[in-house]
Amino acid sequence: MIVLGIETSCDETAAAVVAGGVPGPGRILSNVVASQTAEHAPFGGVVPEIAARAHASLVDGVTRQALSDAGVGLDRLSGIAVTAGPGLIGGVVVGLLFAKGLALASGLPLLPVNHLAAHALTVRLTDGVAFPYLLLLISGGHCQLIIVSGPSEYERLGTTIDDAAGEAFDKTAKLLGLGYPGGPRVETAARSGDPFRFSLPRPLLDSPGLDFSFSGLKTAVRRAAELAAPLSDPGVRDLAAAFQLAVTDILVNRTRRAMAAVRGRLGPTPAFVVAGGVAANQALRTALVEAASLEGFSFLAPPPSLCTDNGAMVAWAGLELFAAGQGLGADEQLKVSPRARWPLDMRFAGVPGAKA
Amino acid sequence: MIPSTLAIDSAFGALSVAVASARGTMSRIRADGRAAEDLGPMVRDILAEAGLHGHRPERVAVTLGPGGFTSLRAGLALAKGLAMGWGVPLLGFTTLFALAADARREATENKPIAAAIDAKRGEVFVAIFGPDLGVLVAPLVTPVQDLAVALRARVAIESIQTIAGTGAGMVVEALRPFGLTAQVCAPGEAGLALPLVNLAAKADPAAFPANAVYLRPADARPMAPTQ
Repeated sequence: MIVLGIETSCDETAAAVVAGGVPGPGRILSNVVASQTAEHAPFGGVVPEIAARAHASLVDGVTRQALSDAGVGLDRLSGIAVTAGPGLIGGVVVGLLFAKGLALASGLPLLPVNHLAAHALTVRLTDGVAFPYLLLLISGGHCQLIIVSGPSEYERLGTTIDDAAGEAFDKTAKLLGLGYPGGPRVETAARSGDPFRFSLPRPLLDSPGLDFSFSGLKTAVRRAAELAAPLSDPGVRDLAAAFQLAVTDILVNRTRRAMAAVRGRLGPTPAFVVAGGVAANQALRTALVEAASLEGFSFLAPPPSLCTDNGAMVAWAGLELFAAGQGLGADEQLKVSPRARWPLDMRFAGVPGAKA
Repeated sequence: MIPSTLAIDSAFGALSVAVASARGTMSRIRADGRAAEDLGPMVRDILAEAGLHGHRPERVAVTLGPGGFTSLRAGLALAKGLAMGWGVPLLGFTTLFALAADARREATENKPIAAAIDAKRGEVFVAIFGPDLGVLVAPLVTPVQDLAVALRARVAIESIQTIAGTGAGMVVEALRPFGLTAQVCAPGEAGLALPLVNLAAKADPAAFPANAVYLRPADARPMAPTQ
């Protein structure tokens, strides 16, 4: 199977062509990402209307490039996968309608993909990991622990009750004047900082359950910065290091607790997978590798370039749906709605506050 | 013989599609449709009804705005996908051009046609076209009270014969003191795809690239300097 994947749900206009079959690994024939980081940088975060405008002007060129890099025409494809949500609705509309046009004109099946599922399934594209596995999904919009049992089967064990992990990085970077995007900026600053000079809280750490909370940590960073004002450059680095360590502690604590809770359900060689943009953070990755090892889990994470948003993960998720016979009929696929919210675990559909 | 052409408009509330071919011209409109869900099925249905060879036109035309940001992008993105999928040219036209094209059917004299859209916040999107639909005043957005100043330098206001669009009343009111005698043209009931489709069939694709026309910056403020 060869599938084209299109991604426009946040600030990357991306398209890719992927070949293979389940359970993977698959082959990435092309992977084109047009990042809009520079357009959003002056605003310190993603501006939805700026993102939607960029997607509308770039989506066809990026897709053409992906097909050309892969050396395949539309006639070689099995289907067209596209992110139909969750995400910034203006961008999702652009990608979805563009893909509907391509599918209608070419007669190919349209495969609407959940953006979170695409992140969740990327390790099957890269490593062919068998279901089920434990997933920590950490990105700009999400922070969740999930058992992944099939391309459309997800059991959410815990989620953030306020900010997403990536959101906490962005807000901290903004607060410390480190700029945007916050994740890499905080990571760089933290590398030469002393994580123990400032003492920051670990919200929810002593509470039962598997949920996360980051907003109290963000407030504590602000208070520490105010108390130490004016903050010198080394001070900024120390505070960034303290923040990153606190986030790491929270994620490791919840992950180990989840591993202990579900180990028996994941077979003799349980696998732990981390995905999403925040998984590109090396310090965090190192800590999670150690946690997995201590709990007897194998550790898998896509390479950083496939942790941030991309079209290859969307193509692969579409390929999984197609292989599982979960495609839509010709009438149904033209009517698919873009969704700002779309929980992986449908038990949480319509729950207030649950972004996904 | 003209190339068979599909036209799509979703820039305002209504959705419309039209097909022109050697067999004639047809159009469909949905006043209450949702662009993301309904535009695709409308295109599929009209292509089937039009009986084109392989259900496939030889070019695609789309409105570019000004209009609702998200809804105009829905039509533009669908049109881009269709044109790439069929491997045919895509032509883009402003909604003001489509309004003028629509008004031209009622024009009796060889005089300019104005198109105006109520842009809210006391502003209007406006453009003026010659009787051949050549651009006399390119699309712009202006506060209503500044309209006369914006237009007078570029066109003789008394020469305008017809005004079309939701902003026509605002323009008449603002320009009457400056000698405007133009008639307001009621919009055609078929939507904007129909007046475009035959024009698009004959136009040079290179002269009508499909880039969205917003006429307003994205609603965003630079981040405040960090304290």
